[in-house]
Amino acid sequence: MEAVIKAINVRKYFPLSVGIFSAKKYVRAIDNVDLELYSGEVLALVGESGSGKSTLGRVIVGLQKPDAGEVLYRGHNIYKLNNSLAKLIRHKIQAVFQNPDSSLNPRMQIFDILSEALLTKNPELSKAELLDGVVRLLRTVGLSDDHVFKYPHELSGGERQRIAIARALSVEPEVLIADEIVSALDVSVRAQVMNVLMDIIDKYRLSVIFITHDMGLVWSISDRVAVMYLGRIVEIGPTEEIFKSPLHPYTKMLLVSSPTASSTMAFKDLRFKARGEPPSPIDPPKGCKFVTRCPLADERCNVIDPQLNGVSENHKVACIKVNS
Amino acid sequence: MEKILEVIDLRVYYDLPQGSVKAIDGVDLDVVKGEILGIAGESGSGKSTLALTVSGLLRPPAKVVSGKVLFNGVDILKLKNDELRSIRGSKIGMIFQDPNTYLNPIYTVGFQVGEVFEAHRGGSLRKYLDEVVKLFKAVKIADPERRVNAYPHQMSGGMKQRVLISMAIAGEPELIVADEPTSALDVTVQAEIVELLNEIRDRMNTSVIFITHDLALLLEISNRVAIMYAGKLVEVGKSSEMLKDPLHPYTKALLSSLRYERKKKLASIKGSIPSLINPPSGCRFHMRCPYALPKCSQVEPKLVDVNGRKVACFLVGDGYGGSDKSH
Repeated sequence: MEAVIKAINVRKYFPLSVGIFSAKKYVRAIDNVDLELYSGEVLALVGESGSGKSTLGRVIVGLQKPDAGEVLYRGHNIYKLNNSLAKLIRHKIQAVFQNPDSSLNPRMQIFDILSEALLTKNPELSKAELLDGVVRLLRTVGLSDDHVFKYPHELSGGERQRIAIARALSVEPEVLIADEIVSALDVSVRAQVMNVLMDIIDKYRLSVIFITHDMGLVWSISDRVAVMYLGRIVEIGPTEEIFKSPLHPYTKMLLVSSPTASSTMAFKDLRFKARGEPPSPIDPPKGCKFVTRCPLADERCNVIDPQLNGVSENHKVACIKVNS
Repeated sequence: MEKILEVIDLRVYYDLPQGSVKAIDGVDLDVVKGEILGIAGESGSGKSTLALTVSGLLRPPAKVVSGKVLFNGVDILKLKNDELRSIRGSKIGMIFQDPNTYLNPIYTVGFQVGEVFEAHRGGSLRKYLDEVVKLFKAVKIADPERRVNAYPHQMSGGMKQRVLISMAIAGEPELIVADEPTSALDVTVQAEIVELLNEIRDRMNTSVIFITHDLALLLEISNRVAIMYAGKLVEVGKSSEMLKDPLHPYTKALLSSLRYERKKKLASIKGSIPSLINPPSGCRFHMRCPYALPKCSQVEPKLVDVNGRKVACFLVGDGYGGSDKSH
């Protein structure tokens, strides 16, 4: 399969301001992560808060330059582009975030918000063409024409999120990073926005990184799942395999802890009941990062830092208990 | 079974310049001793207002228009402030969503939990230190002797929520009102907090009102569930039965939007929650209901018993939604 996005050995540490005489400390948000996004797939990125999943999303979309490693879009390093190529590729990778209120300008009408985006793609558009484009975008995300001249505050949370999706679509992207886009919405509205997302993925043949903490949504939308813990990917594989026979103890813990009304997510091995909280990403454990909470850990786990290893062609896990 | 709390025909409105928001508009609900009663609803359904009313924490512009809230037979809406204060915090404990809002950042957590004892039993804070340590052990805060001297910012979200829980159970309350206590936490931490609440319920035979928008969680943890929609209850019943066989169209829709299938669209509910300033006539769900009859927009269905469940819908039970004499 062809990879649209390739993140190679990406690292992002955030420096902490501490006393001038003490050693400099870092929050290790992403710690040497490799990730490939294949053309046309939906890859879910899951993990607790602080696992680095949002930072990884921001690095891939080009908003957060990594300290080390590279992010390739079809072979081009997105942080080392000349100007003409940069604009082109920036259009190809778009993002939608959790809170539309902080990404939509409250003083702009929907028409202005969307036409501004359309103009970056094609500055020659006439007013009539713009209106036409805006209406088309609105229809794509299931909104009617009468939203064109409204302001964001006149819309509901779900509608605002659809505007954010429409804006991302306006530049005809190939890759969409969706970071917790329905987490702030009520159940009934959440379903509407998820369905719009599924529609546009089909229609525009998008490759998507879907960042969430909701395992139910992961089950319904994704082709593959990558599980992150303290800045590392600890397991990655096809969604059905991950849900039916998870390998990493942390993946098991996430699945056991997720309340769900679905019988499809049947993994309930109570040995993996949640316990403890993630250690600080400033000073993570030396060996396996999950050792402090793992029900299977032994002395070796304190020492050995497990690497991602393939158990099958496309299922990889970082746990010495599985690999050995 | 012994009722510890009875809410009778409660109406709570918020008087705003735009009109009065009918946040709770005729709600009847009981809580039985030792049960976990879940209340589910979307934002704007009135569930948090209900929590505030039951805890005696309503403040203007909210006002109680009618109804009673009987706690062990005493109407807490009629109590004076100091009488209320002797119940709140000792007989009724509260836990809210964001522990940061309820913990003072400039005092140690041990001090703040000790204040609860001081307020209800008097005396100096210092003599309660041992009891605070005991409470921290009870809510499974690791290293409690050291943690009592920690400040809120030195603790994780889950830990802070445990501190709030320890405050809520300090007076060994008969009722704990928990309003979205786990919504800001990760699922793994949520699972632990829920387990802790369960243990406390078992040990102290406390009743718990657990309010959340997460219906899947609620059905998993509570004995009974009440579904609220636009200021009214639409269905109340045992969790296990409701999960298997939801009766009200709104409950059905909520549950089906939670049934995830591989690569299939989610069942969605059209439209959004109506304005509570001018709520729709008849059944408040009729505009979004796929089964609505003509009369649903005119006559309001009452909450009636249907095989041990309470449902407010004309399509359920005898088909009349209770005493429908006006039609």
